[in-house]
Amino acid sequence: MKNKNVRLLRRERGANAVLLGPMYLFTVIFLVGPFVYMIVLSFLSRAETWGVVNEFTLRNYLKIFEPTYLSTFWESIKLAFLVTALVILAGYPFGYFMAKLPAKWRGPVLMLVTIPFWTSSLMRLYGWIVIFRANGLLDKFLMALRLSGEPLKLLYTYPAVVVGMIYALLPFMILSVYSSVEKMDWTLVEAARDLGAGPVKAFFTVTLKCTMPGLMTGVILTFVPSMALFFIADILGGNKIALIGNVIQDQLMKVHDWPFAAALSVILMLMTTLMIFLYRKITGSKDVEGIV
Amino acid sequence: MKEPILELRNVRKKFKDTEVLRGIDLAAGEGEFITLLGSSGCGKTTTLRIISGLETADSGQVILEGKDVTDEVPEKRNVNTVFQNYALFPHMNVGANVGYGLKIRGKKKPEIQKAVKEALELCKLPGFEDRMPSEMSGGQRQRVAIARAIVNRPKVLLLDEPLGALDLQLRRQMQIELKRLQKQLGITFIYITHDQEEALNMSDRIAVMKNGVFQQIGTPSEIYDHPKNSYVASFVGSANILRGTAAYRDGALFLSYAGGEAPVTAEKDPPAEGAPIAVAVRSEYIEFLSGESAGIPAVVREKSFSAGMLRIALSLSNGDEIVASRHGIDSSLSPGDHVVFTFPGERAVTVEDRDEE
Repeated sequence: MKNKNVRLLRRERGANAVLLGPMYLFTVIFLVGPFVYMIVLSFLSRAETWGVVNEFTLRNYLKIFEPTYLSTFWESIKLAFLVTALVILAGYPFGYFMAKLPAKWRGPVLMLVTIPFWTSSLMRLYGWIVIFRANGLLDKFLMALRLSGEPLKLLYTYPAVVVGMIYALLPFMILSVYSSVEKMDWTLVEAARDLGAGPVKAFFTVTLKCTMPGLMTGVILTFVPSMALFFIADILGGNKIALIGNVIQDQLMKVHDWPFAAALSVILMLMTTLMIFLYRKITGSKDVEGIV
Repeated sequence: MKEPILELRNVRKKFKDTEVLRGIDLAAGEGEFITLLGSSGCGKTTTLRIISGLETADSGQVILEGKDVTDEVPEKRNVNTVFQNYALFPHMNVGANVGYGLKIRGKKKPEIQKAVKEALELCKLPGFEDRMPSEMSGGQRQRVAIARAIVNRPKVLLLDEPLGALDLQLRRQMQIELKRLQKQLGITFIYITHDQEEALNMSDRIAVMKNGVFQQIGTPSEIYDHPKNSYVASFVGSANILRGTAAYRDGALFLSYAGGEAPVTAEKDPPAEGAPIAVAVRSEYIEFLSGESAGIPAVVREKSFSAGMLRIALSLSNGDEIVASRHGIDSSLSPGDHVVFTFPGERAVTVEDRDEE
C-alpha cells in the first residue's frame, strides 16, 4: 500500500516535470536570466566607448547618491505618490460602484474600461497631445465656455504628465478594486449596520478592510509603473520632467552606460519588492491577487 | 400580556411582483421566545429583516418598545441579529468582532473588554478573544455570532436559522444552551427555523407561516394538539390529514372515510350530517384493531425504522396513504397484511381544510 503510494507519487512527479518543464525553461530563459544578467551588469565597469568590461566595482551604486540622481529618485517617488493618491480617489469609487451595478450593466461598463487596452498606449498618449497642446481641444473648449481667456498651454507641463499617468494607470486600479468588491460578502455590512454602524462607518470599518487586497493590488500596479513610465514623461512632459525611467532609458540608449542603467534598475526593483512586502504587511495575505 | 416589547401591525412587503408578506400581525412580550416556523420561501426571513430594519415594509408598522420604528435605520434600533451564515468580520479577531457594537457606540476600552469577556463566558468561549474566525469550527463561530449580538443587550434578539449549518448533535446541544441564555438574559428572542422539532422544543409561542401569512400563532401544545388548519397539522408533527364526510352515531361525531368509520372531535361548530370534513390524526395515535371490529380498512405497504420509531405506511381503499408509528420494533405486521385501524376520538380533531390567505 505504502509502496504503491510512493510509486504513484513518483510517477506523478515525473509527469509534473514533463508538463511543467517548458514553463520553467521559459521562465528561466526570459525572466531569471535577464534578471541575473542585470544584477551582474550593475557591478561591472563601463568600457571607454561602448559596452562593458569585466571589472568588479561598486561605483555604479555610489553614483546614484550624486545629487542629480537622488533628486530624480525623489521627484519620481513624489510623482508616484501623487499619481497613486489620485488614482485611488478616482478608481476606488469607480470600481466600487461598477461592482454594485445591476448585472446587466456590469458587462458593458467593464467592456468600456477595458477597450482602451485594445490599442497601443503610445497611440492613446498622442491623443492627449491633441487635447493638451496650445489651442488644442481643451483650450478651445475652455475658451468657448469663457472659462479661460487665453490658451493654457498645458502640454509639456507637470500636470499634463500627471493626467497622462492617471489615464494610463486608472484601469488597473478600477479592475482590481472591482474584482475584490465583487467578491465582497454584503451580509458583513448588514451585520455592521445591525450592530449600530451608520453607512459611512460600516464602509470604513468593514467594506474598505475587506476590499483592501484589491485596493493594494491597484496601488502596486499604479505606484511601481508610475516611477518608470518614461514615455509618458517624454511625450507629455517634453524634456522638462525626468523620472527614473527616463534616466535609465537615457543611460542605456544615449550615454551607453549600461552598468549604471542596470544599477538604477536594480534599485527600482528593490523599491518594488519593498512595496510588495508592505502590501503583505498591510493585508496580511501571502499572495498578491493576480500579480505575484 | 403586558405591554408588548415588539409589535408588527399588518406588515406587507412585495419584491417586484411577488407578495412576500401579506399582512403580518405579531406581538412579542418581554423575555418571550417566539419561533417563526415555516418552509423556505414562506417569508420568515423577510419578517426578521423588517424587524431589524435591513428591509423596509411597504405598509404596516413595526413598534419597538412602544415606539414606531417602521422607517428607522437599522443602526438606530435596539435589536440585534444572529445571521444565518454568522457574518463574522473576517479581518477582526473574536474580541474585536464581539466588541464591535460597543466600540461603534463609543464605549470606553476597559468597559468593552469587560463586556466582551462576559459575553464570551456566557457563550462558553472564555479566553477566545485573540482567535481569528477562520481558525474556529462552525459551532464556535456560531457562539461568537451570538456573543456579538447579546453583548449589546438588545431588547429583541433576532436569530435567522442559527443552528441550520450545525450537525444534529451540536444542534441539540445549542438548542439547550440558547434556551438557557434566553432565560438568563431575559431578552425577547424571535427565532427562525424550518425544523418543527426545534420549534416545539424551544418556543414559548410558535407562529406557523406559509405564503406570507401566519397560519396560526400559539403555544407548542396549542399548535400540536389543536392545529387550526390542515397545513399546520401536517407541517407540525406531520399529522395525517383524512378527508371524508361527517356522520353521527348515537349523537357522537364520526368520520366516514375510505370505506370505514372512526370517532372524531369537532374543533369548532359540529358539522352537519354528510358534510365534508378534514381530520388531523398524528401517526402515534393510530391503533390497529383485531378481528372484524368497526374501523377503517387498510393494507400495510411498508415498514421503516428510524430514531426509535417504527413507521408503518398504510394504503387505503380510496388511494390515500397514511402513516402510523410505534415505539420500538413491532414485528407482528408485515407488508401486504390487511388491517383495520381507528384512533381515539379526542385525538382526532377537525381542521379547516384551507390555508390562511
